[in-house]
Amino acid sequence: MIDFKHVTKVYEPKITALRDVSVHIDKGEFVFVLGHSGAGKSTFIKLMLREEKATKGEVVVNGYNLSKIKEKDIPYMRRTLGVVFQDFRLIPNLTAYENIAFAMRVTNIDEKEIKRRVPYILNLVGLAGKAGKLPAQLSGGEQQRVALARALVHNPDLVIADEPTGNIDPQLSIEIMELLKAINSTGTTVVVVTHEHDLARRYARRTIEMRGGVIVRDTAARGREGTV
Amino acid sequence: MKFSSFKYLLGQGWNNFSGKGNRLMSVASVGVVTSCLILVGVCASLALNVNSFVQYLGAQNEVVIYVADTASDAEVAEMNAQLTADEDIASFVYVSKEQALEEQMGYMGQYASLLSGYQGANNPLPASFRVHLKDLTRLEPASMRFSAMGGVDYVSTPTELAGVLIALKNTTYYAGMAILLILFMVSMVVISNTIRLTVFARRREIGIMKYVGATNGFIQFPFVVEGLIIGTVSAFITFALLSGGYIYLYNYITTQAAGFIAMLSLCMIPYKDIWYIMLAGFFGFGWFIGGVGSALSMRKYLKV
Repeated sequence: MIDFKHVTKVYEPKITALRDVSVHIDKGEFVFVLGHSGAGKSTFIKLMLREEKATKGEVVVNGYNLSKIKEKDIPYMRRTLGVVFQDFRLIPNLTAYENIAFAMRVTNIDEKEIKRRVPYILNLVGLAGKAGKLPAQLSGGEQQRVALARALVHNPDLVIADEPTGNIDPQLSIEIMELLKAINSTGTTVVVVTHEHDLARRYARRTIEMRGGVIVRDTAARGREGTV
Repeated sequence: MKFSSFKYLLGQGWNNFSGKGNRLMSVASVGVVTSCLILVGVCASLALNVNSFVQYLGAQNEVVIYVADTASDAEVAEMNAQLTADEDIASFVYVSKEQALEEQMGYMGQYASLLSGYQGANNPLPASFRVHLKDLTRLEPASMRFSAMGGVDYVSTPTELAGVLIALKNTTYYAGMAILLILFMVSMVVISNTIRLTVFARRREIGIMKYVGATNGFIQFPFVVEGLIIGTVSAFITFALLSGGYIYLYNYITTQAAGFIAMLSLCMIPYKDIWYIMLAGFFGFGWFIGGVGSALSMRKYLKV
């Protein structure tokens, strides 16, 4: 599913963001990637999305070798994964429905399929009644759910959530995490990148901790979750 | 690409051009591109007409190959055959000694009888071939070839005038090309900057499109459509304005009775022979700078 083999990423002039990182994440896993600012988390995501290319080593995501992938194949690789950002990245002048439909339209999916799939996804994230609302009319948690719905439209094998609870209050964070858990329970791999140690501790899932561009800890799921 | 996607992208392109908040910028870029196209059109029309004028003047000047009195009929026939086969020649006519004398007598009008004693064996005027070349730049090599033919006395060539005409033609050509190139680059920068502003305003959307797996072609399409619309509208306005101006000028020149302007009317290209060149030129130019200008302005934002 995700395979980093001795990956190093150096940004010019000579800033090493990742140093000889090797990690494997299996299909269906729920993984926290934990670390403070500057730990290398963002670079880790950028490499998975092929926004950046590894300086050394090999990155394989959903069967695509991102060190060798051709430019023209990158969009197709990205359709196999969904991304959720801390700042939601919704288009402000489009409704919740249109924000999700937009992600389908730009990948050449026909209107009939959009009309079928968007209400289903909105219902899945509990926003069936808010389809016509603009992002500004939604709470932070609801906006993040729209972003999550958008990430799910292509039925991805992998969902990457970059600080998904960073901009919302604790109660709404729980809702988002529960949704991610539900998505994971259907067999989708979920990678949550966060600086919140408490969040990772609470959910007791596999945790990869990064510091200074290296993995300093990789602990397996503990088998039980803490109370929230 | 699916038809619904194509329709969606065209709609997006139209929205980029005419949507609220984009209109002022679109009007500004249509204005600048139209101005450039008008200048291009005026330069190109001028160059085409100068070329036509030069060709007209060139056609009025002929190379005269004087045949030696000693030349045999066989040599004259051979000259005729060589001139017929010569690819630089547009047309030629043989003027015999008798015709030359008759012509001369015609020029003299009421004094023609003065030449009556020069008929027959006393005729001092040589026979000649009067040649019009296709292209005056070929004057020198052609006249050298003519001089080398057997039976030729000498060849009279309008070298000086040809030099002036060729220089005029070349100057028009190179100046026209230079102006065209400059205007082309200016239009390109203007249209590219306009599209860049739209792209900048929509960079967030473009970023999202990249993350959800839109191809570069799909992302670029609406912006290229926007560029093409700017190019089309500009080309249409320019075509309408310059057509009106050209027809007015042509009518004015062709109705002048005398003088230099009246002479211009003989070589000014009629509108019916130039409108399709203008049409193709403006739309071709408009579409090219619109399409390429917008594609170029997007490159930076596609590297996500």
